[in-house]
Amino acid sequence: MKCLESFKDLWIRYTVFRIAVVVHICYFIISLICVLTILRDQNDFLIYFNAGGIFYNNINDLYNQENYIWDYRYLPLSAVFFVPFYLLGFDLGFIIFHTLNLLLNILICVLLYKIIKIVRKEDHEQDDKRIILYISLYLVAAPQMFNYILGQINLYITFFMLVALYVFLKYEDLKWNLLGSLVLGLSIVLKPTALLLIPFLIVVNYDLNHKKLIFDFPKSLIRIIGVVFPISLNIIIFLLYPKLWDGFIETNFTGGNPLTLNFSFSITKIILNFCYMYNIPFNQIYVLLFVFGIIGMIGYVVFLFGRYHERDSIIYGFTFGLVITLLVYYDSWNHHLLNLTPLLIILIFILPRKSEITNKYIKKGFFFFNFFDLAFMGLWFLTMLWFPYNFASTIFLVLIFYGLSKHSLSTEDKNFNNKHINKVKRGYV
Amino acid sequence: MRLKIYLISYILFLVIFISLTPHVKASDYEIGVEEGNIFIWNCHVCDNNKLDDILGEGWDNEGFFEDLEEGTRMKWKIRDTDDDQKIYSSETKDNETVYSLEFAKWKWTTNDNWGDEDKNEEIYLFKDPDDFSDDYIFPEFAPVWIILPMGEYLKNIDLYEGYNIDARVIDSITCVIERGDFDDDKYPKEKIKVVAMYTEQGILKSYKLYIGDHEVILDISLETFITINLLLLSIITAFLYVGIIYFIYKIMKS
Repeated sequence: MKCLESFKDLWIRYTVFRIAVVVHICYFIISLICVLTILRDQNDFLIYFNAGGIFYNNINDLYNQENYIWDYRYLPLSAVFFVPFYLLGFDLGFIIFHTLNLLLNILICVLLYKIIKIVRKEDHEQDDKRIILYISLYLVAAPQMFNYILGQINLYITFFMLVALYVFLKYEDLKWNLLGSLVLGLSIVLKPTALLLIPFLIVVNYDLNHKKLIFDFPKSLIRIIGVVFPISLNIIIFLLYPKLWDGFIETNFTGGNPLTLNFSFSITKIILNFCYMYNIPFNQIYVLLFVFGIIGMIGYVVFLFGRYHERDSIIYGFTFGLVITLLVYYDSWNHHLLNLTPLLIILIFILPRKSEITNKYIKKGFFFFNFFDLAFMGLWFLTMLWFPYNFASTIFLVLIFYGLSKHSLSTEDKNFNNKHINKVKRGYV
Repeated sequence: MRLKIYLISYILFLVIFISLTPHVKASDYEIGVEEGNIFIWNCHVCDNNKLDDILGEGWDNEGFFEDLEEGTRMKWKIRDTDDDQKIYSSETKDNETVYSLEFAKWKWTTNDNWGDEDKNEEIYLFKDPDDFSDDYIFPEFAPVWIILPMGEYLKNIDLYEGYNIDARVIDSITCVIERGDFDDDKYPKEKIKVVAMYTEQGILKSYKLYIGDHEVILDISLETFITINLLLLSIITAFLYVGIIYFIYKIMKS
């Protein structure tokens, strides 16, 4: 009942929130109708639905791509999650799935609000107006519609990631760190988007001023154990059904999928598209490793030497991890941006109100991803015969990466006027 | 109490919605091309020596590859299409219904003047995907023309294990054929990979045959004509990207 009261209060007080809710409900209803009618045979939910059915009936066939309209590429345990939807049948299964997506969006908004309240710097407006504005922008983002209409599971990843982040920010105890990383591990089991976030869970930092390495071994160990445990359960499945391992590797790394032209905005895919167009010999794994080697190494090194408040560092780590993933993996689509934009919103509130980094890089990227990326995807379809490169989002991702790195290495005091931290210092929390 | 009302209303809405939803069945297969359509392909790369070694000397004796050489062009003009023709299937040992495409063919040539066609040809695809033989490999590893919707049709054929159909973004076929997997275990002499893409009409748009780490030894693509729309789009795209780059330049400079 308290939730309804809060919603009512927001509805009355903020016009932007009312518009966002109405637009979002329109996205929800239009996509529901589309998937159950004209897009019935062309959506990602159909793949999850079939994967659930195959896991239930004949697990060995999970990576036999003849069973799907598009390839099923996730870890085998991910399919367990879709079994209930399969048992409900396509229509009811999708409606429940779709409704859960809506609920997740609500929970993501609540988590965003709570996290921002923890990390917001004191030079930001202290009322909620600006937080509500950004949450509203998140709700009306174009990728939301794309995500709904495809029946994708990105919102689960965002939700689990934010839960993990909230737990890490709110609690210091090892048991809470274990819980947070378990939740993150669960998100990786569901879809490996957050896989490259794992190294950023290690609490390690080289203090450039005092030339001292800070390494919290127990916390790092607990976090790594927590995140690896759910993922490692897949090993049992791979050991029990060895055929699945070959299928998983082929589908994700060596098969035909990474070859064909598509509008992915990752650097790897843009290079592969270029090689394809100009008949340049290539090996897709080497290209992937090369790009990962450069982007990943820079990201991890900057993070290692970055000057953060210990509490905030995990947010920078998560953002670095996701930006690296989007720049490196073969397929980075518009709807994956729903994983990144909430982190960008949090960063906007962590950085000083008039921060140059926010204005130059973070905000520009946020607005581009929220409203314009989809248009460039459409443009790609029209020009792909002679120009198959969708690199507008790549530019903004690189800008965010650069902005984050610049901010991380800058010598400005990042502990100043953080309300929560000040309270901690004063012993109020 | 209010929450209950909301929940009941929502469930009622869903029940009514499901019952009213028309269950649109996937459309039947169809032929995407029409009589009078003209298609011209360009051969950008054709390493005849390597192709002779790998596929055997007769690889360019007939079909789409007939007399293929680098720098040549080939033209088809569709004469007729039929979705109810009968031909004998060696797989079922019976007459089976096929989709057929009859076309005038101008063989691969460097001559810019097409003149009269060299010959008329007809190609077929079984209406029922089950009529193809098991572990089927297409004559040119990827068909030149395919039935729509392509993904659904191909996924119902019992194709050779190296085939991978992707209809997510562009209709395409990737086919990896291991050494000695066709022609009585004689060919190919080394592992090959074919990547073929198709137009919305189901016509081969791009065909690349690779060896090793994506070394192209055969590259064919459909000729596209520069229309006013394409020109406009090119200009708009160029403006947008230049705009973004200028915008970034301004950001970095400020």
